[in-house]
Amino acid sequence: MATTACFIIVSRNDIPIYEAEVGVAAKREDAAQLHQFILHAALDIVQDLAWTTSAMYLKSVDRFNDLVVSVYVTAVDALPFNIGLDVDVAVVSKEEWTLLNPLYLPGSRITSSHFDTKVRALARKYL
Amino acid sequence: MQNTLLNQTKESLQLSPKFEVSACGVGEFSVGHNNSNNRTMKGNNGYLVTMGAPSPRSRPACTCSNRPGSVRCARHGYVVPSERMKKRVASKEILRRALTPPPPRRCEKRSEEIRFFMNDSDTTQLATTYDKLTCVGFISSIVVSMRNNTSLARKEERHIHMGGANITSSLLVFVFVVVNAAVFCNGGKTSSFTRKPEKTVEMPLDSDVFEAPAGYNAPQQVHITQGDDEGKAVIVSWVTVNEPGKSEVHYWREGSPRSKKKVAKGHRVTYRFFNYSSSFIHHCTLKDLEFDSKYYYEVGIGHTKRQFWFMTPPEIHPDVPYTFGLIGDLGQTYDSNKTLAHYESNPKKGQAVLFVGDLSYADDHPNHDNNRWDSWARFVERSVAYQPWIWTAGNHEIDFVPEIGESVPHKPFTRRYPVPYKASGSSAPFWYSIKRASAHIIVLSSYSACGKYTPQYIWLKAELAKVDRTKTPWLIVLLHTPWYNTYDYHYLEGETMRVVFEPWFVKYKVDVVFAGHVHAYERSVSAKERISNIVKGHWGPVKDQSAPVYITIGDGGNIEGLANKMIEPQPEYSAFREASFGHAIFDIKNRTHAHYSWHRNEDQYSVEADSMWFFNRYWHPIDDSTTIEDVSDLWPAVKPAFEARLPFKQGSLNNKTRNPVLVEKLPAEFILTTDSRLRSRFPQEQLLFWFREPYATIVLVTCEDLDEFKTILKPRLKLIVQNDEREWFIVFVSRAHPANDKASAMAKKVYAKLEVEFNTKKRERCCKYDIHLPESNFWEDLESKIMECIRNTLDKRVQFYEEEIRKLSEQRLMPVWNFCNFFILKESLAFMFEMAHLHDDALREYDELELCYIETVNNTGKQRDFGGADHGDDQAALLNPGNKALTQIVQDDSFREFEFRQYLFACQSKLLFKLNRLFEVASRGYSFIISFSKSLALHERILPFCMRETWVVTACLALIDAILSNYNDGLMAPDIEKRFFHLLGDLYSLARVKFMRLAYLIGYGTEIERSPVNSAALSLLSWPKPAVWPSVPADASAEVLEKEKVILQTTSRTKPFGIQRKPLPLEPTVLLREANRRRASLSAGNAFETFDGRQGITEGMSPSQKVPPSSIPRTNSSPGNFDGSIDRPMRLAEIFVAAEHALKKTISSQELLKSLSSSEEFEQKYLELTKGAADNYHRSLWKRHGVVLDGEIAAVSFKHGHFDQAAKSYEKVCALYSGEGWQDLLAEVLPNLAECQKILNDQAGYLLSCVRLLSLDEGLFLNEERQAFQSELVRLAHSELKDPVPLDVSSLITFSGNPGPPLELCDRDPGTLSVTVWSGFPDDITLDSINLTLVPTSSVDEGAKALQSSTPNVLHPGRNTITLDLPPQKPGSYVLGVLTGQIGQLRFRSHSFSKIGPADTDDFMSYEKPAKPILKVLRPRALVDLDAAVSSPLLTNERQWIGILVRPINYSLKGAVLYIDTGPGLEIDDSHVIEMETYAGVSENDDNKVQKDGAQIDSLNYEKKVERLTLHNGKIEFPNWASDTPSIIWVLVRAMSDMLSRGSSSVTTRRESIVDAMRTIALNLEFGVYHNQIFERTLAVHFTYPFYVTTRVTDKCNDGTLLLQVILHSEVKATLTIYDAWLDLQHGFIHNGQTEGRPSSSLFPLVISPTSKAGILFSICLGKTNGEEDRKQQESILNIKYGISGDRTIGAHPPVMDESTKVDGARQELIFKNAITLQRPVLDPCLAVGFLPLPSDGLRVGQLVKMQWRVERLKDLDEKEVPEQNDEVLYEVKANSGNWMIAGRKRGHVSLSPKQGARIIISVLCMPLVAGYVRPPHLGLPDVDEANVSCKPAGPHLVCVLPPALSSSFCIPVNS
Repeated sequence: MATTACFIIVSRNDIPIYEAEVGVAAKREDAAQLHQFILHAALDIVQDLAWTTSAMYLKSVDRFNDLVVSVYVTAVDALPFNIGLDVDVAVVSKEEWTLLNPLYLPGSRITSSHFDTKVRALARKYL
Repeated sequence: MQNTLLNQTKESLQLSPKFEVSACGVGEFSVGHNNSNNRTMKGNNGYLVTMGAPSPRSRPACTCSNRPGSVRCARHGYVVPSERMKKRVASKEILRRALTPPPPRRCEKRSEEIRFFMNDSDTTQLATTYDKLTCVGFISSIVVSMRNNTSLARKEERHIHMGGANITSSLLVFVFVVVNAAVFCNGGKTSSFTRKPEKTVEMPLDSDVFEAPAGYNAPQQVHITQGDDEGKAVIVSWVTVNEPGKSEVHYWREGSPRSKKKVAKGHRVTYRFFNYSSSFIHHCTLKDLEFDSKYYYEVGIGHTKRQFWFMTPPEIHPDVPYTFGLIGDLGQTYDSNKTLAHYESNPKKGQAVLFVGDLSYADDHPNHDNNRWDSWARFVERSVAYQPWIWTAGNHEIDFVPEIGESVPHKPFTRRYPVPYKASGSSAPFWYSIKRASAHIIVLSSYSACGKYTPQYIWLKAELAKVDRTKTPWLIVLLHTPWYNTYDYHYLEGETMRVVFEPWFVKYKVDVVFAGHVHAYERSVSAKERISNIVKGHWGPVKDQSAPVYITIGDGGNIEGLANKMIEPQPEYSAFREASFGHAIFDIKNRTHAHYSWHRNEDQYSVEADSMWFFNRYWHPIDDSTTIEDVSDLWPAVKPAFEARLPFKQGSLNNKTRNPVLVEKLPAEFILTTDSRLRSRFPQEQLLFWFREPYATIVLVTCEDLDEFKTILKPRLKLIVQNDEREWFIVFVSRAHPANDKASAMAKKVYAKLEVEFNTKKRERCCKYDIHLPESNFWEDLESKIMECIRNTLDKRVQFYEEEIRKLSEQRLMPVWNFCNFFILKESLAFMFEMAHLHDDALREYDELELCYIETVNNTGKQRDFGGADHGDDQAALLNPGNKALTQIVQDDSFREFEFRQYLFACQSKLLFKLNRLFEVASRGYSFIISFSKSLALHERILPFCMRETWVVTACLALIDAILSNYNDGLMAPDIEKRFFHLLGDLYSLARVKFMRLAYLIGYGTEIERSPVNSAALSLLSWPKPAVWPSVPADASAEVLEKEKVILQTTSRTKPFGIQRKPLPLEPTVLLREANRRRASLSAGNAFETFDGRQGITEGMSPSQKVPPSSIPRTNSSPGNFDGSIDRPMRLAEIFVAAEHALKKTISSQELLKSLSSSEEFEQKYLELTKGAADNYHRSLWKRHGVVLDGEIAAVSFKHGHFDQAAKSYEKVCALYSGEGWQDLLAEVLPNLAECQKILNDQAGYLLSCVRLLSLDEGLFLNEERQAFQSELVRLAHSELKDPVPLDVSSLITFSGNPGPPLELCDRDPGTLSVTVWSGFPDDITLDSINLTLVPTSSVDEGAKALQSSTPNVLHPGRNTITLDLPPQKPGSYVLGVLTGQIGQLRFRSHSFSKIGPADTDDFMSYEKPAKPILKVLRPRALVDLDAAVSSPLLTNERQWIGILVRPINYSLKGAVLYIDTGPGLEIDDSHVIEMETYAGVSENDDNKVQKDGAQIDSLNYEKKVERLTLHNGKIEFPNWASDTPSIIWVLVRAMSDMLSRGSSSVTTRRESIVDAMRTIALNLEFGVYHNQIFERTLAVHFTYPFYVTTRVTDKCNDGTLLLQVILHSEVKATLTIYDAWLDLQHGFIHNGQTEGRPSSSLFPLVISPTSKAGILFSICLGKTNGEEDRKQQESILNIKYGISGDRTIGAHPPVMDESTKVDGARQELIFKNAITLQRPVLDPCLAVGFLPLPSDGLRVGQLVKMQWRVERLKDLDEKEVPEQNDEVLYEVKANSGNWMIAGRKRGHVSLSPKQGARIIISVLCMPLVAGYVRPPHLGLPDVDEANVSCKPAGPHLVCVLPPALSSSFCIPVNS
């Protein structure tokens, strides 16, 4: 398992509502860019794939060099995709899922620092 | 070149016919494949079967008894190979042969050209051959092959094998055996000409043939042989017996003068052999002779001269004819003499003899009597002195007799018979070669070692390669020991040599191999070893047209006699054998044809016991064993019709799983049996390459005669069809003309016979074709038959292959397993399927093959050659199976991965294309490229520099090209098509990335846009890792300088707005470091690494990074540190140059090189790839990929100033990113877009871009940059715009309502809305105006309402609050809509209130934003309630307070005004004040649940307030305190009523009219902030008089006094006090007594509580009416003076006095008047009748009863009134006669006193008649008016009548 991961929660209409980069590797200056780009491109695939399977966790839908994109597709509108690089997204996603505020407004950015900390803690656990 | 070759071919073709014509004598042709012995051979011959007798294979075929494998065989001089070794060698050899590509005809040519050439020539050749054949009638049988679209030649190539040759064709071949009954030849191939075995006897030494020439020392034993390589020299040998003599030869050319005699000096040898000493043997070589000339020569110079002559051969030329004689194993018997003589006198006149060994048989004599050598030489002198004999060493030349001390082999032979071996580079005289005329003759020694690395082996290998068939078309090999031999002698002796050399013979297309040794004659068909089971190695020769013909001609006639024991039955490959003595002639006609004939000694010359035409293997590879003759031209006659049927429209074949599959348009070709393709095959390949064999055999037959049929045709056909291997059927061609009845009848008969003979129950094997009038169903019949044949053949072959494959697969895991074998079988199967158009199955085979390959390769773990190092390998060959011959790759069972995998994929893709499964091609191709690229990466160290990248680029492009060229729109299902395009896009982008990497390496990095996509792709892609990084070529310093200049000149493109972002990286690590590390690590260790660490110098080296000027000198100088060392790190420019040079070496594709040659070319290619990728992604609906790539195109356009296109594409990209909110990515692209728009003067767009830039996350840009954006925006807004530009700033200016509950407004109320606005601008920004729309959430028709901001707006960064006036809105709830405003000319609008503004559509917005209402306008409701405060009636005609209860319902009544308007009958006393007080109705609060808690608290702190107000113009203004609390307004009113209250008597019921008593008040309350709320209400108020009066006369006293009871009902809810009451009586009544109409005063005051009654009695009496004045008073008036004590909150209350009239303390007395109508009594009865009671014991039926009435006179009888009446009263009893029986008088008069009070009783006896209640009789007074009778009405009176009494007799009591 790689040492770095990037989570992006993407709402419907493909808007990233949450982004987190976690991991121990030194952050490359272009990493945000890169990861965004890769995940963005992966959405094409996810959209194709999501309809063909009933599974929620789509492992390694895309691969860009050594970066692996996995997706946890939720059944709810609020979090249609949860894309992560390199990590066991399924586990993290499921736990993330439980972190969400019930009063969360669908479609808006997740800005809660609490959520962020939790996600990072989770990621550390699984990385 | 092509043309010339072609011409040559044509010439040769033109040449050949004449020979054919001459040779077309119709003779016996042996038929190779129709051998009737075939079957039996298989059964009982040990040749193939291993059981029973030990297989010949198991005994190594050395005649000596040495054990194989170890010891060197003394006799044969070589190691007898062991069984295992042989097998191994053999199988390898066979495989290699199998994989051998077609021998290149022009080796030096490039393969493509050759192929092309071959195509043309072969087709032409074949075509012409057909024509020629048919017209000459030479070919006796016709093979028709079916052709498909590919050319014949290509097919042939395919046949030659998959070994990588061009496998393109798919062809089903049919053999047509055309049989013509008329010309029927012997089909057997055995000519067992038997002769009695006779022991041949050597001629005695004193025979004349041995006679020595006369004369002293006369030269004897003269013989010549060729003396050099090409025939320009002759070796002359002779023997002098007496003395040595001169070794001199005089010679001269015929025609030249004798004086020009030349002299050649020779040398002389002698030798000893045991006890024999030789004479003087002279050898002399005549050199430099001229070609084709007759020379005379003389030997015996000085003693006895003898003169001879010889012909030199013609100059070497391919088409020169030449005739060779063939003699072997001659010996010196009588038969030898016959043979020689027969040869000498042969009219064909051999010009030279090829002698195949065993000359003298001297060794058959004791001690190898060498005198016999002498005698033999004298014997043959008569021939060999005049023509050269080419010597071959046989076993009888060995002369190895160690027991007598002769241990040097070949001593006599070498001494006596020199050969020109040195001229051909041989090291020993036993193997050598010569060229003579058009033949290249190779002589081999069967008794010299021939294994690998032996001199013979090495020599032959080199020699065969030297053979130039264009000069010497004929390649002839001479051996002694035959390789193939079906006699019982010397069986398999030649085997060791065969296994070694045979592949070469096949490979080099040796035409014929002559051998001796076996003393018989035998000709084989072209044969070659085959292996029926590769693994077990069972083998045997099979017919194979590519192999040489083997001829054993050891029948010279020696002492050992004939070999007449043969292997029976005759094996298939043996074409002709006969144990007879004879010789043969090999007559070369031209380069293509040679005629061979064998002549028995007994025969005349016209008889050729065996003959055949040889077709040159190289120039004219046609089978030499023609089979069946088609003299009657059947085939040409039917050919057009047959071929018109091709390709077969439809056929049903079985696929691998034996399921029928319908194949359409099955390509096929008819070929004749003579077709070269059927012949030029190696026999042992036949099974392996079985798929190439024809699939159906059609026998064309015609016959016009029954006898002919019986005697000739039938047996012949039987013979043919016995061959079970073929699927055959017969087509009977009827030539009978329909008009000719007889002929057609005969044809029918014959056909019927035919059917009887050959049709079986299972299968119809015959069909009839009428040439003149084909039957209609014939063609269908034919096709179905053909199809059936094909199907069966296919099945059979598939089965065979599968079986083989299965066997092989079982051994998969064994070490001996050989992938090559597997591969061959598998691919054969695949190819067969492909030919049959069963592409699916073929594909499956290839798939399995690939799987197996990968498994094998991975399993064995051997270090294998990867391949790919050849030139041109960088161009992917994944679609071109014929790119490389696999043969070269298959070495030692190793398939080079590089070539092999590409080959496999190419095959697969080809099939997929055929199946039209483009998608699969694409998907497989893509994954193949990916996986293969990985393999390349693994082997990158051994591959050329950047091989991997180059390969991927070319592979992708090739794949794309191929796919697109096959692509037809609309054939795929939509979703598949989507994925298909996506794959194409992937391919494109893969190529693109690799291409960019290449470009970067050679310094075009600056051309590459540093966009996210490029960065992502390239920065994660590792650099190529060659073993050594290429170094700069020596002479490239100029280029380096140039590059350096370019690097220095390159300035990074400045971003618009002066954005200082760091450019994205394009490299995984810095190239400089990488390159130098790769070099450094090789030699200098980590020296550079330390340098790198210290200086960090490489950071600045990347050309496109912005290099601070100060660092440039540093960079340039830094390499100087290493100037002294050899391993100076390269500078960047050097790296570029080095890479470029290396790439030029690597890349063979001109196109790719060109693309990399300059930056312009690069860019063009780059654009092409990018566009391709983008287009395909778009088509696959992968918009993200597509759009992103559009951005790349845009970048290029941008760079070139095509801002239009750039802007368009950029817009797409930006729209995508921003639509989804990928900020980081957007930040990269957006400035570029802005720049474009700026340049294009697209102000609107530019503004929008600025806004977008501003609205990106703050962290993405520096604050200064953001300010720059803003200032740009503002500048534009204020200055340059001509027209107002609408702009969406949703993401920048956002707004929301205040937190908390929405503002609630009642209907029609205005308000003020406060909105929070966030500004995303980095600075304050002044907005000229702000409008905000409200959008009602519910009503759709209602448009948005615009609100205007009231305050000027300067938005600070961050949060601002603005307030907006809100006009009255319709009811409903409202959300914030759009914020619009203006900045200068710029009209902006903003939708959202969330920070990140999403898309513009309302649709989206309404979804995305939850409707949080900012404003709620309530529906119209009662805001206030007006009600009458009092429910009980008020007093009429009095000034009464009327209370109006004003109850605000959650709404402030501040400043409310109440308009009061009274209805009729009511007036407001407006002079009086109006009181207003709070209203504390707790109970009401409870009733009205509207009140909330707060209100309750209010009520607790209730504080009563009273205020006096005045009424102005009917208007009351509310005080402030009354705005929220309920209050009551007391208004003084007076209900006017001029009617008197009217009482009612007891007789009349009360009639009440409430309406009369009601009065109305119209109220109109105006309230609200702007008095916009109006509440109207009309109140009804009940007014009433205080009392309601009822009267009744209670008693009439006798004295005429009437007591009038007056009852007063209280009508009000107040206590009334009556102070006085009096009655003003009407006329006719008077008061009685003194009280003057008043009751006694003691009654008063009388208090009446609410709702109670009081009564007053008045005593009155009737009075007289007097006077007129009394008349008018018709009613009595009751006057009551009363007081009232009530509360106005309840109801009636003391009326308010005027100030003026008010008396202090005075009792407020009110007068109530009521009218009462009294009526005088009108009439009195004067008689009363009463019914007296009946007796109490009841009435009984039948019992008399006395009814009694009393009649009483009530008053005096007035005379006036009743004058006629006296005291008599008439009565009458009336009774129902049914019920009563009147016993007395019914009617009668009784007297009654006229005085008042007189009474009388009338009794009447009656008897009831019925029981029950009955009406009693009634007494009437008929005379008196009823009115004067007071009588209780009798109606209700009923009496009870009992039933009659019971008879007592029924109830006598018993004595007791």
